[in-house]
This record gives sequence, C-alpha cells and structure tokens, in this order.
Amino acid sequence: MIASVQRYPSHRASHRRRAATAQRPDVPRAFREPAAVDSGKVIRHPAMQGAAAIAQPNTPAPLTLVPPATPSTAPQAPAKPSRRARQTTTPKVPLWLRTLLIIQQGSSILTFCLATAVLMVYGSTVYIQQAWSEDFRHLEQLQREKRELTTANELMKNQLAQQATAPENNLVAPSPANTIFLPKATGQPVQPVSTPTAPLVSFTADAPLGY
Amino acid sequence: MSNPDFPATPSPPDAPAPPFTPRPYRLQPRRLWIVWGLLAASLAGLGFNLYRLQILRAPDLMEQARNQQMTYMRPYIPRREIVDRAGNILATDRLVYTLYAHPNQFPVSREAMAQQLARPLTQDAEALLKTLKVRDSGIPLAANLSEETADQIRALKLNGLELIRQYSRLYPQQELVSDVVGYVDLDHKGQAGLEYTQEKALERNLRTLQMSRAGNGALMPDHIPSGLLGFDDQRLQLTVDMRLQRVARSLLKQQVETYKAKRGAVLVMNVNDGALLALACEPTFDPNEYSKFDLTLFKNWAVTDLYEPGSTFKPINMAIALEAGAIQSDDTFYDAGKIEIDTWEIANHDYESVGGRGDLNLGEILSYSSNVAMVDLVQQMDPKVYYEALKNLDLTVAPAIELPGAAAGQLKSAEQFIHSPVEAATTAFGQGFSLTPLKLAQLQAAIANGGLLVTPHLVRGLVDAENTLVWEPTDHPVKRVFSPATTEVVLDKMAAVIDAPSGQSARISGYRLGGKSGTAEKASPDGGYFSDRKIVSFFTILPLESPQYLVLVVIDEPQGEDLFGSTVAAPLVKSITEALIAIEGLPPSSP
Repeated sequence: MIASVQRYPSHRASHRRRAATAQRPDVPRAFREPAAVDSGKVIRHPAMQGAAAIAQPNTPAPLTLVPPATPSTAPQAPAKPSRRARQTTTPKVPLWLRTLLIIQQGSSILTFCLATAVLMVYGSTVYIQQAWSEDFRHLEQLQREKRELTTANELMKNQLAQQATAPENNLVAPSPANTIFLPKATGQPVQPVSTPTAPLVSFTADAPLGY
Repeated sequence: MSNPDFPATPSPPDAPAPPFTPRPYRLQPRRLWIVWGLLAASLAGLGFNLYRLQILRAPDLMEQARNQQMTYMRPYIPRREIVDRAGNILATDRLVYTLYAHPNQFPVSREAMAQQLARPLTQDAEALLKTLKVRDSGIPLAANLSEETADQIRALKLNGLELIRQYSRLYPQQELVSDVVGYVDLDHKGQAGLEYTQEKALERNLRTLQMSRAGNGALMPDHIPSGLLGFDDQRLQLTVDMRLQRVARSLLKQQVETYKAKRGAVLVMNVNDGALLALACEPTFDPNEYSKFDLTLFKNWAVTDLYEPGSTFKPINMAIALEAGAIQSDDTFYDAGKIEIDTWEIANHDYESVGGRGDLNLGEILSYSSNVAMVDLVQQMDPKVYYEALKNLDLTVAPAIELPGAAAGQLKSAEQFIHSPVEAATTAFGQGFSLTPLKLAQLQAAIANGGLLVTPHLVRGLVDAENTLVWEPTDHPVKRVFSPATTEVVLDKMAAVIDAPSGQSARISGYRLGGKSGTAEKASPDGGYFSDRKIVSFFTILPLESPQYLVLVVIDEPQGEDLFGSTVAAPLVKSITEALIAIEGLPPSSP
C-alpha cells in the first residue's frame, strides 16, 4: 500500500523518473521531441545502451566511447527542458483527474493511519492476552493466599478455644459474675457546655475555612 | 560504452567482426522459462501442500492442535462458606490434589522415582516402590495432598506424574457445629445438616472452560465469558453464635460424660423470631473425618427424634386451659398425691415421700410439678376442646427448620383421646404423646413471646463481604396460638418454679427467669414404660420482664442417683444461661 504512494505521483513525474532511472544512459534523448520517447525502439531492451544508437537508430555511428551517465548528471540535464517541453505539449490536467488525485492522496493518508491502527490493535491483542495470562496467575496466587490465611486463622481460633477449655489454664466461661454492667446514666442528659464554646465559635468564625 | 550484444544494430561494414556471437538474446527466454518454471513448480508444490494440509489432513491436524493448545480449565469457584452470626467460618473450601503415577512414562527407573517421591509424600520409599510396581499406568499414589505438597511434586518436574485438583470441604471448628452444618461427601455433595438442605444456596455453578494455551503454557483469554472469574463473595450466615455454641457443647459433653448418658441436646433460641443461637447434640462427629463415625450421629436428634416431654409440657397445658377459659389464673386444684383413672394409677413423683399436697394454685402446681393436680386441671376442659387445642399447636406437624428429617410429633387419634379419660390425664403431665425437643422449644417460645408460634430456623441468609444481607429466607410463618394475657399468667407461674427451693440450681442472681423441669419415663417399644430409663429436661426463659431467650437442655438416659430434670439438666441450663447473658450483654433486672 505504501508503495502505491510513489507509484502514481503524477504522469509527469513518473515520466521524469523513468527517464532518469530506467533509461539513464540516453542523455541526449531528453533533448528530443517527446514523441520520440514513445517509439518502440527505445523500450526494446533494457540492455540496450549507447547514446548514438538510440539517437539515430537507423544510421550507422562510429563506435565511440561515450562516458557513462552518472546518477548526478543524468537527472539534472533533462529536468528543465523536459518539463518545459511537456508543459507546452500536454493539455491542462482535467478536473476529474485532479479530484481523483486528491482522493488518492487522501485515501493514502487514511490507509497509512488505518494500517498503523491495525498494527497497534493487533499488538495490543497480543499484549492483552499476555497481560491477562499474567494477571490470571496473580489472581490464582491471591486466591490461594486468601484460602490459606482464612483456613489458618480459623484453625487457630479453634485451637485456642480448645486450649482455653483445659482446666489447667484457669480460664472461666463468660458469666454475669465476671461481666461488668454499667448502669445507664441517670438524670439529665449531658448538656452542651455553652460557656467554653462561645469564644471558640467566635474564634473559628474568623479562622480560614481550611482550619 | 559500446553494446556488442545489440543484435539489431548493424555493424558498419568496415568494422571488425564482434569478438563473440550474440548469445543471450536467444538464451534469455530459456533462462526465464527455467526460472519461471521453477517458480511455478514451487508455487504448485506449495499449493498442493496447502491443499494437503488444509483439506486432506485438516481434521487430523485440527485435532492435534486442539490437543496441544486447548486446555480444560476449571476456574476456582468454591462452594460457599458457612459462617456463624459473627462471621466466624464454620465450613470453607480448599483445594487438594490426588497424585496418580504412570510408570510407563517415567524418565527414570521406578526405584529412583520412589526415592524422589518419598520425601514430599512423607511415605516410605519401599512402600512407594511396591505401589509403583502394581501396574504400568494409573496408579493412585496419594490423595488429599495440600497445595504445598503439590508444589513440591511439581517442582520435581518428572514425567509420568499426574496431579488432579479437587475441592475439599474443611470444617475448621471440627465437631463444634457438626450437627447443624453437616458434611459433604467426596463428590462435594452435602449429605447431612445444612450442607444437605441448603445445597442450592451453597453451590455455585462449576463451569469447565475450554481455553487455548500459548506456547509457554500461559492461558489465553480467547473464549472467556464475561464475569466468569469474579464470582460473588456471598456466604451462608447462620443464626448460631460460635462462642455460645462452644460453651453449650463443652458443658453438655461434660454432663453427658458425668451421667454416662446416652445422649444430650442443648437448644438456645431467640423466642421472638425463632432463630437458634446454639444447637448442640452429644455425642457428635467431626465432619472432617465423617467416615470414621457411626451413621446415626449424622442426624440431629433434637430435631429428628421424638420423646415424651414429661413435666416440661405442664405450662403448655396450663396455657391451653387458660386460653379455653376453663380455668382462671387464681384457681386452685386438688392434689391427692395419687389417683386412679380407668384402672391406671397416676401418682406424683414424690408421692412416696410427701403424699398428697391438697389444694394447689397454678404456681405451686408447677413448682411441685404435681401430676395429680394437673390431671384435675385438664379435666376442667372438654377432652374434645383439649384435643383441638393440642392439634392447633401443630404438634403433629414437623417444624419447618432447615435441618433434614425434622419429625412431626405423635398424638393419639381423636377418637382414642376423647373417649379414653386416661389419655387426657397422661397428656396433662406430658406423657402418652411425643414430640421433638425442637418442637418443645417452639411451644415454650410461644409462651415467652406472647403466644406466637414462630418458625425455628438456623439460616440468617446470604451475606456479602461487608456482612450485608443479600438474600434471606422468607418462609418463616408465624401463628398465634395463645393470647398475651394467657402467656403472661403462665410466665408468672414459671417464675415461681425458679423462685421455689427446687429451682435453686437454675437461679441466677440479679435476673428474673422462668423455667420448668421435666423428668419423663421412656416408653418401651413393647408398650408401657421403662422404670429405669428416664429422659430429663429443663428450660428457662429470660429475662422475664421482656422474654428474649429460651435455653432448653434434654438429656437422654442419664445414669446414677437422683436423676431429675432439676438435678441433671438445670445446672447445665444455668451455666449456659450465664454464658448467654455475658455474650448477649443482658443487664441484670436487679443489682
């Protein structure tokens, strides 16, 4: 999907790129009329090299050494004239194409975002499973500890109670004789003491709310 | 750079011949064809393999994958705990393991295996080896292994050992509440007591899940239904108080041993709602090791077995007569010491020593426990009315307590009761019919609470972790059998029993109690009564100002001298009542 971004940049750009890379050696070709670009001979074989042969395929040319085109020189040379030539010949890009291009660009961005999201979601599902598995183990451990603590606590209670019943411990059963009953307070219920609170109230009224 | 391979370019006539023939143009397609062919062939091969794996071998492979990835998981969903009213655990679940050995998968010899296993299993290596030689697979080596032991065995990382996880019920208080709680069998099914009857409330759905497992053995939550692991934390709470139960059980045990009695029972009931605070029977069993005990101990005899209540039933008769309007609270009844009805002789228990006592009021009848005066009292009623009143007490209906096997009382047929005067006469002092100790407690509670027949129960409901009630049993019907005016009179007369010299063994200073003893002869299976077998009982109601609790003790077949409800059962009632006062914090009525 991401590759598609580069695949359809524009008709013009793609042409320039093809000119720059696939048929890099035919330096003079760029100066020719655009019609010659599409001639069947040019794309006959990628192995075909030699500027003279391409420029005038039907005229014999002396076998001379042509300096190989370097990547730095190749695109630079044809860039400007190529564009100018194209602009003069190709008609203005129609609206429908522009719309399609905009849609294409928009959908590319969308696709990229979605792909990222998909990766994230996929990653999280894997991670969540792992995390769940880990937490499940933790839960089991906690359940086990709870179980053990509960059991130990209750068994201890029972043991203490049994020890308590042994006569040599001198422990007695609960009875009213060893229970203290406090009589209910008789008389008036406790009155809120007014004298000491009066200054306090006035003091707290001035105090900030935080206190 | 010249291109010598370019065939379409004619060489200039004067140019020298190319150094070699243009070769690749004709070879190129072949090479391409070879490459293409190779690719196509491998693609076809892959396609075929895909077909083979996805279609031909798919069922087998799926099966294999499932076996490797899927694991059957039983999440930890224990049976609910049973707790007392303060939240002390009476029954809980734990995990135990059973170890199986499959010697045909052992990585080492059986001897070495036995040596390694002897330590964690705390078994003799020789004995283990003997067991391991029995057969090649599926040898049960040990059961009820704790989780720690299972961990130790797992840490050995030996093939051919299989640990099967199971739930096991633990009763940390041992025999303390066994006759209430009951026990569960090896299949984790309740077989006695509340474990049996409250199965629905205790059981949670045990679901077995198919889960996939990752390569490292970790479980994957692919197909987990939601809310599966978060089981509720509800527990079954009882009305029983563990402290009181402990006091009741230990005292009862002592008394049963002292008098070499056949059995004994203690009931402590809240008279206003029928909640049982303690219910202990002796002898009993340890539910952790139930298989070592006699089957007959698994029932709660205070709920399932009938007995003739004897004099403890006299206050009920009094209330019936008062309610029917046959007698008044200040009436007196003649006690001749001995009377004869239909050739049957009825005498007071102390006739030999005291003889007749003459006219007795209601309080004196109860405190002397006069049989003859009671006969006179019930004779004031039409037998038909008396019989209807007894029926109205639901004597012949089993109380709706949550324990299994609650028995309905037995009463003679209406015809026999109405036409044979001796039936009404014996019923007057609690013989000739039978009921369970629980039913007697329910009837006495009706006198204590102002005449309502409450449903005795043990289950408070299901509570969550914060001890708030989530579910509560609703089927606790209440039936009015006496008017408050009647019960007030009877309660007053019962206070006279404790205040009389014979009630001294049950008296607690500072508290106003009402009570009554009972000493009944046991009916023999072939008619008549055993002269040497008695069943003694005593109950108190407290505090008399506004009755809240009833303590009933029944001791079956005590042996020795001076066997009466007031001598064998009353001291026990007193001790239990004292504990009850302290635990419940009942203030004294007079300092």
